[in-house]
Parts: sequence; C-alpha cells; structure tokens
Amino acid sequence: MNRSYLFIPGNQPNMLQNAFLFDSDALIFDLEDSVHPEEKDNARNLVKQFLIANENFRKGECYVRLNGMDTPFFDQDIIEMLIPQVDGFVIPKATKDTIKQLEVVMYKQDPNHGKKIIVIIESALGLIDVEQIASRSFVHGCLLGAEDYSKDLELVRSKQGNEIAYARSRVVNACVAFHKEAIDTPFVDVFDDASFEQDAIIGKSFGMTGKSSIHPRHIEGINRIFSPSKKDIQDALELLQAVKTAEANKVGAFSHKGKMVDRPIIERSEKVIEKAIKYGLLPREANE
Amino acid sequence: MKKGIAGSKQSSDCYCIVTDKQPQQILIDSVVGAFFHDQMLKVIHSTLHECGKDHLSVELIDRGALDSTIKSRLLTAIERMKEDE
Repeated sequence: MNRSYLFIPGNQPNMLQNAFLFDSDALIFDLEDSVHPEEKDNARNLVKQFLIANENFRKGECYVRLNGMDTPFFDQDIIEMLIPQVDGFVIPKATKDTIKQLEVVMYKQDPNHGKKIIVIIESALGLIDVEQIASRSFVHGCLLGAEDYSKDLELVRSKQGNEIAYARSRVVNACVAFHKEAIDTPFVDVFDDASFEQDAIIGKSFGMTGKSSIHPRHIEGINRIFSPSKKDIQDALELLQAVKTAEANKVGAFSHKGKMVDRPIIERSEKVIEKAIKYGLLPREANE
Repeated sequence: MKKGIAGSKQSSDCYCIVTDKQPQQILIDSVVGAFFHDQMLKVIHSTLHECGKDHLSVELIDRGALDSTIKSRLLTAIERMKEDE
C-alpha cells in the first residue's frame, strides 16, 4: 500500500531525471495528458530508456499512465511498456467495459505479465461501474480523477471539495469491499499549501488510503497525513500489549481504557502497526 | 535523403537529426562537450549498432541530456525515419 503517487510528465527529461530523488512511495510516468499527441513515441522511448538505465536508483513502485483504450496510442503503449522495470499501468477513463477489454489485451500480449492495474475513475459512468471494476482480481487500486469527473458532471470545483464527496465515498467503499487501494485525486492548485493540506486531510477522512499528486512539493504532506500519527501508533502498541496479556491470562473479552476490545479493534491496531513499520516509523521488531 | 528528427533544445534534453547521408558524419554540439563528448559518441554508436543502423549520420545538439535521454531521442529519430521509408 502506498501513501503517495507522484505523476511525472513522460516527455520532459528535466523532470524525469529527478524522479527518483523525491520521497514519493510510487511514481506514475505519464504518457497521456502531459504529452502532445505528436510526441507519444518520444515519450514512450524516453520513459522506457530512463527506467531501464536507472533501475538501481528506484525507491518505490513505478507505474506508467497509458493513453486511453479508445485512442490510437494505446496498443503501442502496452507493447513498449511491458518491461520488468514497470510495476503496473494506470488506466484513464475506466469503465467496466474498458477494464474487460484491457484484461483481454494484456493477456494476449503476455499471459504472465504480472502488472498491477490502477484505474482512474473520472467520469459519471466510471463511478457507476466502480464496484464492478474494483472486484476484478487484476485491479490493484482505484484513483479518483476529480477534475475530469467534475467536468463530466459540469460541476465547479471548489477548494473544500464538497462537490466530490459522493465520488470519494463511493470509490472508497468499492475499494474497501474488494481490498484495493483507494487513491485520492491530486490537488491541482500547486502553491496553495494550506488548502492542499486541508484537501489531503479530507481525503483521508473519507477513507482514502493514499493520494496522488502532480507536484513534488505535495509529497511530504501526503506522506505525513497518510501515515499513522504518533498517538495512533502508541495507542495501537498499548492495545496489542493488552491483548497479549489477556491471552496469557486466558481472558476472553476484556476492556482496555474503558472500552471493550473486539476483533475489528484488534485488526485496526495491527494495521496501524503494519503501516508504521512499512513507512519506517517503527522498527520491524515492534511486530514480533 | 531520408531524415528523422526527435527531441528538443530545452535544458536536460537533446535535439537529434538522423539521416542516411553518406559518408557517415557524427556531429555533436554540446554545452558539456568538453567533458562528455566521448561518452556521447559512445552512446550514439552503441544505439545505432543496436538498431542495425551503423551507417546512419547523426547530428546531436545537446543541452545536458543523460545518456538514456540521448539514446531515447536517437531511437525515436530512427523510428521516425523509418516512417518515411
């Protein structure tokens, strides 16, 4: 599970060459919106050669956002990007039909491709289909693309994001139901730090597991907000210690700090510790 | 004469022109040529060889591109040249 996903324009060497310096948990190299239609071939070669040459410098997962399946660029994107250095694909304008087609196309190219698929939910139809999309086994996560979604619904985007509350909730619900990552929309007003922080906090409060970004200045904030807090970690450690003590004393149901402890509460604490270890906030031994 | 062009003259990029002009010429104009001319030449020759196009002429205007950027722009220029064939 990743907290942060940073989009990197696929045809800009000056941005590409710094990609591995950022602390983003995952990178998304973009072949779609940031690349002019006449430069798609240039972008494919640039991303591919960059990933091959710099394989040893990467820190997290590397995804490639492909062009839409309804474009003349998609087939070549798949052919060129099915390389071991790419962990997965990000699929724009996903609907249940495009995802079914994608499954067939990718299987044809390489039945053992093993690529993770993150879909972008960015239309009214995509949101209607999100449960069916998330249920597909090869889908790893759903990313809400609020700008295109709002455009589809002719909504005016606000910094508070009330207009995308339903979309956020529905994406999260589908992802939780099928154990997938729910990735929040990027915040596009790059230099409004206060509104960005607020937006990331709201995304997390809806249940998003991570957030995407179009600018590296947001990565620190995303990683911080989507990590368990010190208090969360301390509470979880104390609760799990209490569970151990109860088990040692052969106690069934018990209360901790005045609240009854049941299985979901224990599992939530275990998840907090798992995340804390993954993000380097706790030593690995803490889980032993 | 067949020709293929790729890249840009922006910082960290390179502008690459490939032709089938004979005799072969490899021209490199780089802001860091004094330090990296030989390395860039090596990338050009190995990329041409990889494509089975050792005979092609290349003009490279470099603005501080990484080896992988030079290789990718050269590959695209060669592929674009193919489109004219």
